[in-house]
Amino acid sequence: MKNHSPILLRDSLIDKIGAFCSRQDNICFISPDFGAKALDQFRIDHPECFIFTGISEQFSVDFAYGLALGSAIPILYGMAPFVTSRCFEQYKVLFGQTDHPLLLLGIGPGLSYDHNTISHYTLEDISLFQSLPSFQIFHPIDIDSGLNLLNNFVDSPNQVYMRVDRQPLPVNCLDIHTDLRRIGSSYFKKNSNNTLLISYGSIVFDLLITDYSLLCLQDLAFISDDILAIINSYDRIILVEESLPNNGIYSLLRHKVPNASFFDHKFIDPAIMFCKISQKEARRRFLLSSFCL
Amino acid sequence: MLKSIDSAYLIDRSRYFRRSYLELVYNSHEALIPSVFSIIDIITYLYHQALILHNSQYDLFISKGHAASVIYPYLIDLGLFNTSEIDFAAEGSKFGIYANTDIPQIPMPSGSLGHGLGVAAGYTYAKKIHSPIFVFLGDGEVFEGSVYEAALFVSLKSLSNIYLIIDCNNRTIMGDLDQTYPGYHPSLLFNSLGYRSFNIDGHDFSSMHKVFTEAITASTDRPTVIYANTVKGKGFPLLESSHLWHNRMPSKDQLDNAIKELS
Repeated sequence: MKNHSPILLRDSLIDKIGAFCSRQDNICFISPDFGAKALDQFRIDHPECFIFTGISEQFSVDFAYGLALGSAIPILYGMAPFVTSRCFEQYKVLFGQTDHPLLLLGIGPGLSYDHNTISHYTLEDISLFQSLPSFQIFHPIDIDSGLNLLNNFVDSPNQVYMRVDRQPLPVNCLDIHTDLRRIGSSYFKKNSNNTLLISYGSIVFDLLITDYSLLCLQDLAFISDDILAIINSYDRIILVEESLPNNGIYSLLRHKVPNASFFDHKFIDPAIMFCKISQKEARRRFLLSSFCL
Repeated sequence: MLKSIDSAYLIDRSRYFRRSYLELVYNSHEALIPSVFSIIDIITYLYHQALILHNSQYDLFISKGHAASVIYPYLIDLGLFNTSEIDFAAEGSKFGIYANTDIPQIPMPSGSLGHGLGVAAGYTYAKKIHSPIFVFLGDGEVFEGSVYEAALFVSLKSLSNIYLIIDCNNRTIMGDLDQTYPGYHPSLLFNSLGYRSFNIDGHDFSSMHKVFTEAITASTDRPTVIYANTVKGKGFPLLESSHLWHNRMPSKDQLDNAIKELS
């Protein structure tokens, strides 16, 4: 009997990394001071694989590069805003010019930490990492997709930035959303109208209840020909993302769909910097209101 | 145990490497010669002792990226490249001003400052090596916050095989540090973090030999910092004269004269 209850991808990933650490000794899990329930157990079970680098994101990336240089497989884990934009130069200079592997787990992208201020928002990370061609950017929509990417990384280490939602996710989208089908790493729901919504991350679950066709992307750095064919078969496209204008996947996508007669971009208005509103309210106000949601 | 040294021989070798470097950059429109000449004597010493560039694993991390190209003459000396192969800073060349990992002996790209110590820490941690690793930082580079982050980790984890050499030439692009930032010295950071510290004259081989012998042979569980008092542009008097030469390229006449003086 399948478990359909949503669970935390973060904890699933940490458990799986623990399993890998039990069978190989070259995995190094780096945390610049960011915990999790599952991580508490991981630290007990695999002290030799866990490295607490202190509250030092810049050093943590330099250190991860050094580990990779020494043939280890580094996994860097932290709150998304701090392990992305705060130390971006380290990624650019070191990993951006080499092929040394790194799995970056950014927890809580977008407005996940809505009880905080702009310091905790991650609305520009996708554009930053898109500027490094060697990085894959992946935002899993379910547990299986996240774990599958982790498996692939450990089997064949490369450079990956995984955006990990704070919200519990379904184990497998297809089990609970039977109108979805999988195309490559994306999910697609086809409706009869000629409007296509494109999105990624947990906001997809808000969009699934509309009558529009919906394309849920997981790979945010590469659009395959299959996906492009689907996108270009629609006249009206609405890109919905929890990202700032001209950030997110807008720039990646816009020039690939030149024939759409209507291309709308729903984004988080920079005014978010000045108003204390929740993620739910920000989504309603900036992203979903035009769908009457 | 380190080899005994003949200072006169090493002075000659350093003159040779300086000359070789100037010949490599001769046709380039850009080079950062003063930063290179600031540490070239120390590199010569470590190279002579086979402490760097002779091992199967990385042992030299030049964090002060302006001086990364200092190793090119030594790579030629090792027979790894011919002079004609090193098309310094030419279009598409891997032999640029800053480090390029397409050259197998270079562990990390450089350019911006503050990365080397953290990378060296990760490398020594992963490889579990105990032989010395030398990391060169500029005295101005120590201002970078990432240097503090790395320095703290290296100290707390007792990575005692890391030898940090601070190129104390007292110069940044804005001028001489004792004028622009009175009271500053990198020892403010490293001594407070419990590093074992030494001072050397970075152009005096006897001074270097005395300190490196003690630093490397004496057992310690602490990382080591060596403050190397140097002169930026040392060996090229014109470039020693002003911080403004940091990124200026001498004319062909000036290079010819310098090469002649070093011959």
